Amino acid sequence: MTLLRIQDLKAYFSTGDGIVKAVNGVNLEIDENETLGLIGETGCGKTVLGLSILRLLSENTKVEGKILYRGEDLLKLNEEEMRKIRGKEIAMIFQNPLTSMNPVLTVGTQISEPFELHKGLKKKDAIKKVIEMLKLVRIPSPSERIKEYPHEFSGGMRQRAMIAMGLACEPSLIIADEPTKGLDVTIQAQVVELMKELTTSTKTSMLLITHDLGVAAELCDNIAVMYPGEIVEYADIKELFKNPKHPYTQGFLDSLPGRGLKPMDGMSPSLINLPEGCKFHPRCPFARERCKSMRPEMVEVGKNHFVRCFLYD
Amino acid sequence: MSIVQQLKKDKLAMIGAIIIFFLAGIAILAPYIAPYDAIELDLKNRLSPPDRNHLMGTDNLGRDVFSRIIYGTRISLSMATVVVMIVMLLGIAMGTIAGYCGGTIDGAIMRMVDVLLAFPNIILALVIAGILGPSLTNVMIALSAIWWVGYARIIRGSVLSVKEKEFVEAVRAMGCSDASIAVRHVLPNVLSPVIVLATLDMGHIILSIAALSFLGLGAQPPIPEWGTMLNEGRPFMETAPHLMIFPGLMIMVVVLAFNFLGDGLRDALDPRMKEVMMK
Repeated sequence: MTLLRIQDLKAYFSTGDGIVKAVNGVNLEIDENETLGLIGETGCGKTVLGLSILRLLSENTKVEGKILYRGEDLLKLNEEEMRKIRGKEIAMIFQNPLTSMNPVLTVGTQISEPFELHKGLKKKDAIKKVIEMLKLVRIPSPSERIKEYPHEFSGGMRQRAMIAMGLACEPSLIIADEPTKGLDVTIQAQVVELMKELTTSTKTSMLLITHDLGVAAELCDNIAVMYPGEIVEYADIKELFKNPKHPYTQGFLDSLPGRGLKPMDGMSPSLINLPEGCKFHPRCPFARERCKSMRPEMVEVGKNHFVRCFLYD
Repeated sequence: MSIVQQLKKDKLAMIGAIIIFFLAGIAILAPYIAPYDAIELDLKNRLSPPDRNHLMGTDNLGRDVFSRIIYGTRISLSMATVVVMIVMLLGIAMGTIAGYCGGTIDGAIMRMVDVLLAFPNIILALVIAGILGPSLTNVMIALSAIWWVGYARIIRGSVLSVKEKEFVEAVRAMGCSDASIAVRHVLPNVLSPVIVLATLDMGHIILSIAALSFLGLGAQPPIPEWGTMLNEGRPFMETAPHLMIFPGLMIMVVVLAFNFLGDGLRDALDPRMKEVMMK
């Protein structure tokens, strides 16, 4: 069953230099129990897409389209109703565990907050829950640890604590924005392992935003590849790695160390001055005249495999 | 290193703290310590210089200056504490609202702050106290009405920077309301400069209360307030200098003590500042 359906989502913000088109007509679906990976290079609008689902973008951002969560359009809810969705139905895990916790509150106080907010628990009961959660994310001696401040936690522990906070109210969907960024490789592996285990055991869906294909391969069922503001390819994880169709995806995969470490030509375009037609044509080795003026539509190239490219028209 | 440990290393701050505790003790125990009643007249014994019976002498109405100083400590410290509490609350509230809400509200509050800052503090307080009429309560009202602006500015600045931090976004993603984000998550992050400022301001406010009382707008005779005592002693400055020396000394010592402690606190709470100064 579809849990979240994003329809023609656009998120623009105006800056002094012009209008930044961070998300430009995105369609996505996340089923229950599904982990969808959203990959793409830095600055392609992945994080903005994640934030727009929870309506956390600043007020001067224009968000259009539909974000249907269990059939309800989140963009039409008022602030009060939205607060009941945040943390309870859809939780977010942020990319930088080092700065995503309040430095002056103890870890216990912070993790108990969602319990107090959404479940109406008293502080004392909430703390009991917190200890359970920290046990779940394997933080040793949690009943002592909850009295400590974030700076007394290591990076990996802090990210695990953040995961505990995200999972606290048993949300149906977790948006994880580069949850392994800033952690070293061994800790990354632990965190990935933990997230995989927890999302499977709690039957939680996840939107994993990352540029780390290794992490994505480990966790995701399906992958959506994003290139400035658009989804350019969508496929299940095995298919995508075996049979990438879009020239950008091919280039992306070829740039992996295991596949030749070939750098892609050019730079990703600025979100203010997007090229006409296919956004990728200035860097594309197969670009033709048509690509410069017309925007390609998503075409189905195989079972559950879609690509936005004229090569497959 | 904890703040207390760091403070202990700072000799001046410790001296300040000791003096303040000592004076606070005196203020609390005033009725038990004072050898005489502070307002009882003894007309036979007027203007006597300090001696064994009257440690600091007597004033023009024969009242014991030492006892009056002790009661004066009580008045000055308690009034300054109340004023600092009020300005802290007011300043923190206004600063947080301005910084967190931004936009028009921010503009309105901060322009008001700018206007108040454009006047010299003591003159504005003089005007307000003058309009309300001379009394201790009115001096407190006057000082509170103008003194909060410094706090509002400091708090607003820190709130502006803290509210852009990632953890604020993280708690918003958790479903916290704006009010609870501002109070529970942003405020605790911005309080340390306020603690320093409040300590330093204790001294300044004591000084201002004394100044206003000296000018006749504050405590009215026979209340043993230090500024009032200075004013009452003024005509006898040449014949009985002890009437002005002792209240003046007390004011100086208290202000100095609070300044020492405030400086020490600032160094302890903001280690970066110290490093910069050492270089």
